[in-house]
Amino acid sequence: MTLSEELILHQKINLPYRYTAGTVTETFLEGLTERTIRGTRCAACGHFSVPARPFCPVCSEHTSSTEDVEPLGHLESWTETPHESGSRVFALIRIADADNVALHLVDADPNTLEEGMALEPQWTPDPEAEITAIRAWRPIRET
Amino acid sequence: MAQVAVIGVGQSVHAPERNDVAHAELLQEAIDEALDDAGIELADIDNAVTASLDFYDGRTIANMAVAEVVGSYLKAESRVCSDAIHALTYGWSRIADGQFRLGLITAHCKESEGNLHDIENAAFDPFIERRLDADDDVVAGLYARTAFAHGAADRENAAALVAAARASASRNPKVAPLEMVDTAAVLESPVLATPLRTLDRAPRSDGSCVLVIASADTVAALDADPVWITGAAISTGRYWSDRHPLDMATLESARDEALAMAGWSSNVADVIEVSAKYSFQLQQFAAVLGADESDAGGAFNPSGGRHAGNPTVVAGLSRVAECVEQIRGRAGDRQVSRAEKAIAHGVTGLGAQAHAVVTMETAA
Repeated sequence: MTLSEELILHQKINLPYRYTAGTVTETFLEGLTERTIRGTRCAACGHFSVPARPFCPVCSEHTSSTEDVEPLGHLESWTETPHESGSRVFALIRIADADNVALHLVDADPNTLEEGMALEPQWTPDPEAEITAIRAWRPIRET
Repeated sequence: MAQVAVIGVGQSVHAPERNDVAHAELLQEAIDEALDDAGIELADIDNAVTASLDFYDGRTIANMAVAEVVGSYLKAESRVCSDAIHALTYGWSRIADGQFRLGLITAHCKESEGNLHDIENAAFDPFIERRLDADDDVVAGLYARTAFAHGAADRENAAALVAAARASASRNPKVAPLEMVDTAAVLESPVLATPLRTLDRAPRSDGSCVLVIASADTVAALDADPVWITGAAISTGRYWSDRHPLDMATLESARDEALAMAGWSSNVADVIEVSAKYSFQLQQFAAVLGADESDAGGAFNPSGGRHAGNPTVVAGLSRVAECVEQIRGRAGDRQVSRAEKAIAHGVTGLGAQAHAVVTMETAA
């Protein structure tokens, strides 16, 4: 299907956006600047989401009030992907006693990871209102 | 509810790079074939439902780029930005409802033109997830590790399905030839996202697929060769990170609804065409749909499925096209004997969020 005389135009669409976080996500992201993680509990069905979110994923109720949670995660799954920096380890992490899991990075040798392993967040020195305020999660070392 | 049949099928050749044609030309190849198959002219169509994705086409309102070739001027064209099996269920309901009689269902996509990582990353939530730079492969790796660890899929058997799909592809004239591989070659291919390897993901592809669908009175008037759609259902699941990797409730609900419409028990299909971008999903979905893995290349995915090389958007409609050709007995070297009933499956979204199931039969 490939012909030598094919004309291929190289273009790039540049589309900057300003994403409005909305009240609940804003409360979550602002919490990160204080090294605090927040969730939302559905008043109708009790489903507990971390990170905080404006609607219950189970029953669609508006979930407006947030709760600060313990900065403790448990590893549900992980995957190592090739990257220009070597590799990255993405993970699904159940934070505190959430009913859902969250995507983030893990800073550890993937060969040492186990399902259910306890994790703690590694904060950046001066956390901003972005998910990257947590640089990555890492296994909690036994003391 | 009016009976609806597929009376025309067309597909371009699907290949990793169709640099010889632009989007509209790629789609026209399938349209010309489908119209010819149905024995009608483009002007005979009274409505069209098109499927495409703006980010892949590199322009917004991408359906306008194909308006001429689908012949939608002064007609009711509507568009879905999902797998085109959703377009079929939409077009089917238009005719079943009695408002329309002769419809065109179209799908096109060129995965070769954009940056797939960036396109896939744009689907993630911009506040909590996107900055982490994930893509479809990351979600697949996270899900696959859980599926393999908990016995919902098997690492070796999933690889074997990829090898079987490529062998089937050699009997499918609508996909470009792929290198034949064995299970070991899949398991030894470069890492995609552990535990998955690059060959676990369906190959990059450019292609198009088109169906002509018609009401029963139109089928009779045209003396067409119909395959009847007896069940069609869509089910949408929760967002990928709100859904457990082993939770198949979404697909189960689409299956149950379609089979109930058709009046079937779950195991009466002679052909089952399953759509999955990743090998382990193919195992999971096949189990829910009642396809026997040992029949891969036979009654289960005789076309080779998506791992034979069908692009996103198009893949689910290609499953329907194969079922129609099987039921008509026109599937050539891959013909399944006594193919009278078939199930086609399509999927869309991060981590397979939405599923569609369509049942087809020789009689209405």
